[in-house]
This record gives sequence, structure tokens and C-alpha cells, in this order.
Amino acid sequence: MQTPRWFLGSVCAGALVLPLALDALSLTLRDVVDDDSRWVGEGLRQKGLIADHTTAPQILLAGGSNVNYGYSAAQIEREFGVPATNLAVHAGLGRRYIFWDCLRHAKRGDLVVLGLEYALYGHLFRDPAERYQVFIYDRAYYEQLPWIEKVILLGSMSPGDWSKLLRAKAGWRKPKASLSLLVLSQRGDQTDNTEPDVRLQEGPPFEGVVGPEFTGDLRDFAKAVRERGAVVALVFPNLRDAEFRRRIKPGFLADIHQAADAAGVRVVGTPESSAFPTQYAYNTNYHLNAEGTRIATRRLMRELAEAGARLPAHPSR
Amino acid sequence: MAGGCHVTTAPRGRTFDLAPLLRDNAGRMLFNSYEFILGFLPLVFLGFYATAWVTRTGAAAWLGLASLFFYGWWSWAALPLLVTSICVNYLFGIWIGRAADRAQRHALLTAAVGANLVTLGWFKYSNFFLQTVNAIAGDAGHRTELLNVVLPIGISFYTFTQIAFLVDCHQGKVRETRFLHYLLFVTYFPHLIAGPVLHHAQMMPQFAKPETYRISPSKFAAGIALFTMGLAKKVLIADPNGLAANRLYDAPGAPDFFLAWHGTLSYAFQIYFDFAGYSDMALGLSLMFGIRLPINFNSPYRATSIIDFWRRWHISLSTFLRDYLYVPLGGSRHGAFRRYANLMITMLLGGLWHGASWTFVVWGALHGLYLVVNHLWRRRGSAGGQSLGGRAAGWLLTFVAVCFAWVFFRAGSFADAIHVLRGLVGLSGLHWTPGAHQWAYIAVAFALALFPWNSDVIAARIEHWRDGRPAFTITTGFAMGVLLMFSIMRLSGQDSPQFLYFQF
Repeated sequence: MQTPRWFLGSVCAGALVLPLALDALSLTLRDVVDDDSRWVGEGLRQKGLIADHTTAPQILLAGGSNVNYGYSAAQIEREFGVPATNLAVHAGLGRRYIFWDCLRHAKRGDLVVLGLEYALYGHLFRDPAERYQVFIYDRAYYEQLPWIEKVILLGSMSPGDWSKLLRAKAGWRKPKASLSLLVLSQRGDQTDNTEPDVRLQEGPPFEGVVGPEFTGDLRDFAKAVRERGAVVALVFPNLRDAEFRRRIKPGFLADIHQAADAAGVRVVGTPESSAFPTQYAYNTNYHLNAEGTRIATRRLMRELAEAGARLPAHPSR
Repeated sequence: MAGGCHVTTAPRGRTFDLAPLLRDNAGRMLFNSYEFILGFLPLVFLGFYATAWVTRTGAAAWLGLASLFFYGWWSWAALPLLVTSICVNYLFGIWIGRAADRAQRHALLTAAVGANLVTLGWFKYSNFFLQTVNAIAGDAGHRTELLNVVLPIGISFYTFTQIAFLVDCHQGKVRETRFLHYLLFVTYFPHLIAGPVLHHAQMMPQFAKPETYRISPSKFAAGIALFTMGLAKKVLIADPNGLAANRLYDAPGAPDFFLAWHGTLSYAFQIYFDFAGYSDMALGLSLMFGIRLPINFNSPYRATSIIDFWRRWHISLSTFLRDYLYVPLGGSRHGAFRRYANLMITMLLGGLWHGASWTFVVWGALHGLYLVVNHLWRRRGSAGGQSLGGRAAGWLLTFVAVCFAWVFFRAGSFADAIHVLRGLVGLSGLHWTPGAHQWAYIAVAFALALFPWNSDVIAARIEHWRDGRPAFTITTGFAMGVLLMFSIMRLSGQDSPQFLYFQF
């Protein structure tokens, strides 16, 4: 009768060893050259450098690609005389990573304008962008996670992910000759939305619910921002109006307001004012073209002023 | 690190906090959910054996109540219907057992089966019926509003289980007067939602045995192994193949030959590993509690004929359809024509059981037709099927025929099915589109589906290891632990965790 006990003991041993082995294996993924994710990692790095080199208090535009394409930090600086950096890259990074990245750059006097895609209010999802960013470009994020989150993140790596990245590490998978990287302005705005490309891909799917952990995440984020002497203003994401009418229900919006109130975060603007007509769409329902960006940026600044938000002052003024 | 600040956005997560694991499938407690694996299962297991130490009846009651809770977690609104169905069928079972004569027994059985079928029909087929009437009436005709009916989870399975029980009562094969045991028979959580469809005699006598109420390390080890293999089938094979299948079937357009075959093979393996994975998990869970359930799959894609396929695929359902539909219709007792007609009727209804849509009916009709052709072929007495070449040809023909039928099973409409079928026969061109890595999932699935040792064989070997080969035991156990943990970890990356057969 010892055999089943040996078997069961070995099952437990195998189950315990695997996460430790994968954790160790993930160390080898640092700085792998990966064509598919490099635009995210490099974009975040460059934007972070811009933010960190700005010593004066500034507006930090944070969120997913609706912010990346939706607001122009350069225009804010040029037209309103307020220093600003666009930190946003991709909603697939997930709200927790976006918060983490923003906190690295927030400092005293900053105003964080947070425009999360509607999907980011819901249950946490695991997009490849998040795991690739964490394991290849930003292991510091992984290192500070609780162990159970580490196990979840390791588990989100599919066998295909492991195979692809380990082959790239071993040099068996050659990078493309020209990697596509973000075309950024000096303030971190993505500026390749001048040519019309209205294919209108769907963008991230969402359930239209505020997830049970959202309020806690937002509260923790706002608290950490305040500890740095900065403040957060939540704005609604830019979304094409037809899509907005089709998918956004009043109850969901009310839940967002309730969550923001509970987290002690001020909401600026309205969801309707963030919805834009198709003529200003670039290539997805969340992305504005250059003209749309100009209009949305002015609208954002007007709404911040109307809400009485204290804008960081330009050092020259 | 840029900025030099180490701040976590989840500072409360440093303690032993299981909340992150429980967030992804809120509202559902699937076998492949963290709620089930880390919460429900250990609690019910410990509670069962702790209670059994004091009282066996209490242990059975604990299992029955836990099963009701399991069902209620899915849908509290559907729980009253399940409980009512159990109470009514229990009473009918008693009355049939006590009936004075054959005529009374028959009348009671007819009433009970009729009540079950009306209930099932109302919830599952009323809108299908109205949609069909509206379609026949056309644009000019009066359109009837569809009903606001929500299909209760598992209703097809628990209805069939109870019909089988009533027929067995009618035939004098079983008698169950203890309500608690009847409740447990129907609701026992490993089989409640998606089968196997059980006979009372296959499960309940085991609850009468004292050894069931003592932990058996060998059964527990085999149960863990089966559960692990089932979970891995679902998470590591079915779900990735499902994503590829969805890419084809959600917007079929005019797929070329390779794309159509890639999507269809992906679906063929998705549905097999999804349902076989579920069945393995159900059998494994039950074995942990010392209860052996009948196997539901026996490597069906190794079948060398369509008759062979139906002896290996969803065995509990095909046995039910044979015993309670095909045989009562007359089976093969009234000549060849009646036999083929009965086969067609059985498979048509079997198709309709899977879903309220004409595409399912066509799927059933195709399999009925395949079976008729197979029986006609056998009547010719051809011996070619016994040679290696004949068996290989039979295997290939069977597999391709099954794949063609899956097109109707999966497609959202006949128009979509026709698009895919045109692609499968090359009428939409030949363009190599899916990448090599996308075929890798299919290749792995193919190899596993054809592997001589299926999960039941492996679990049986683990259960009966007595000869003390520690190195082999430890290696297998270690590999099983790695597979279990990897599957559990992968749950966090799943896009479509629900089992396909839950919709039927």
C-alpha cells in the first residue's frame, strides 16, 4: 500500500517544483529581442525618459492607447503652457501595470490624467502584452508582486509563449530587419495618426461591468499618487460615438462614478463628451486621428479648467 | 528602475490572499475554476470523510447538499426546478414500484416520462419551435414573439438520468425509497451538469458499501491522475484548438482548403478534448470519493468505422439512446428497413438533444446516414475491413466523415456550414495561410487522440500498482504533479473556460 502514497507525494512535489522552475526560467527572458512586443517596451521606456527629464510639475497622461492617440502632451504644452508627458501606450498592459508605470514617474505637483479603456474597469484580463512587458522589459514589476500574482502571471504564459521567447533567446528565431516602433513627439505623443486609416478594428472587448477589485486598485493608486504630492483626475476614454451608444450602458457609467467616489478620485468630463464621430477615428474605435486629437486635447483642458483642477504651472511663467 | 520607487499597486496582497485567483470566473464554479479546485473540492472532500467517521447517512447528506450548492452557485434561480424535478420523479419512482398491475405501472411511467419531456421541451425547444413556425410563415405570415425562457444548466442530463431511472423502476431493475439517496443519485456533483448519464445501478450500490466511506489511497491516486489528465486536456489542448476553431467559424467567409481544414480539425479536437477532459475530471473527482463512474469516451478518433465510433464517443448517451429509444422503437427486430428507420430516428433525436437548432438535426441525420451505410456495408459481408489496409482506410473514412459532420455541429447557420464545406473540398481555392505553429496544436492533439493508452487505462494502472517500482511511481507522480500545476496555472490565461457540453 506504499505505492499510492509515493505517487501522491510525488504529485505534490511536482506541483511545488513547477512554479519555482518557471520562475527561474523566466529570468532568462530578460531582454529577449521580440518583434511583437518591442514597440510596447521601447515606447514605455522612451516615454518614461521624457517624463523623468521634466523636472517641473507636469500633466501625466496615463491610460491605454485611447490616451496615446487621444491627447497631445505637446499641444498642451504649446497651447496652454503646461508641461505634459504622454505616458500611455497600450491597454493590453492591464490597469495594474499602467498604474505601476505611472507611479514611477509621478512627482510632487503633477496632475495625473487617467483615461482607462472601458475594458480596464472590468475583471482583470491577461493580455500577452502584459506578460511580455513584464518578463522581457520590466522584471521589477514582477519582482514586487505577491507570490500568488507571480504564479498567475507565470501561468498566463502559454507553451507557445515560452517556446517563442526561448527560441528567440537561443538565437533560433531571428528578429525582423526593421522593427516597428512608436513614432513619438518630444512629449511622448504618438504622431503617426495623420494619414487616414479608418479600418476601425474593434479594440479590446469588455463586459461593461466594474470589476470587484477595480475600486481597491484605483484607491491604492490614488493614495500612492497623493503620497508623491500629486493628484489624479479620472477621465472617460475616447471611444467612437456609434460604439459608445451601442455598448455603454447607463448602469455601467453609474458604477464607474460610484467606484471613483469610493476611491476618492475626481471624475472630470462626461462619457458623452469623450465619444467622437467616425470622421475623427484613426484605425480603431478607441484611436483618434490627428485632427481628432487636437479637438480632444482642447476639450480635455477645458473640462479640467471647468472642474477647477489645479494645473501644474510652466516654470517659465 | 527608472524613478527609483518600488511601489506595489496591490499592497494588501502580501498576505495569503486567494482573491486574485477567484476573480476570473466570478459567478461560475466550473471543474476548471479556482473556486472549485481550491475551495469547493477540498471542503467537500474533508467534510465527507469527517462526517462519514460519525455517520454514513450524514456523509451522504453532506454530499447531496454540497451538490445542490454546486448547482446553485451556477444559478440559484434554476435550483427550484431541479429540486421539483427530483421530488416529482422520486414520487413517480415510488408509485411505479408500488403499482398494482402492469397497466397501472405503464400509465404511471407514461405520465412521468411525458412530464419530463414536456419540461425539457418547454425550456429547451419552445423557442426553436416558434422560430421554425415563424420561418415557415415567412415575412407575410403572423410572427409569434419568442418566449423569455432561460435554459437551466444541465437540464438535458438530469432529465435523461431520471427517465432512465423511471424506466428501470418500471422494469423492476431498481427500487429507491430513500429520498436522500435518490437526491444524491441525481445531484451527485461530478455528473450533474454534463454527465455521464447514469443508471441508478451503476452508482448507488457503491454508496451502500462501508469501504466507500473510508479514504482509499489507491482510488484517490487514480482520481487525482484522471482529474489531472482531464484538466490538461481541457486547458492545454481543447482551449487553444478552440481559439483556432473560433477564428474560422465565427466569421467563415469563404475559407480556402487549408484554412477550412485547420479550423475544422481544430474544432474536432476541441470538442473531443473538451468533453473527454470534462468526463475524465468527473470520473476522477468521483473516484476521489471512492465512487466509480462508467467511462464516457474510449479513444473515439481511433474508431475504424462509424459503428465503432459510436461505441467509443459519449458512451453513456449512446447507450441511453440505444436502450431507451432505439430498442423500444423496435431496434433490429422487425427487418432491415425498420432497423435503418429506427437508426435514423434515434440519431435525429440525438442530434436535437444536443441543441435546439436544425444544424444539430442535420448533424444527427448525417450520423444516422453514416450508420445505415455502415450496416449495409457489413451486410455485404466484406472482409476487407479486417486487413491492415482495410482498417486504415476505414479509420480515415470514419475520421473524415466525422469531421464533415462536425461542420454542421459547430456552424452558426447552414450558410456558414456550406462555406466551410466548400473550403473543405477545395472549391474556395488552396492558399497556405495558417502558420506552422498553428498546426502544431493540431498535431499534438492528433497524436494524443491516437495514443494507445488513454486516460482510463493510465488511471487504472495507477490504481492497481502494487508491485513496488518506486522510481517509476515517483517519476509518474512527479510528472502528474507538474501537469496538474501547469494546468491550474494556465487557468489564469484562459479565454473560454466554459465546457462546450454545458450548453447541451
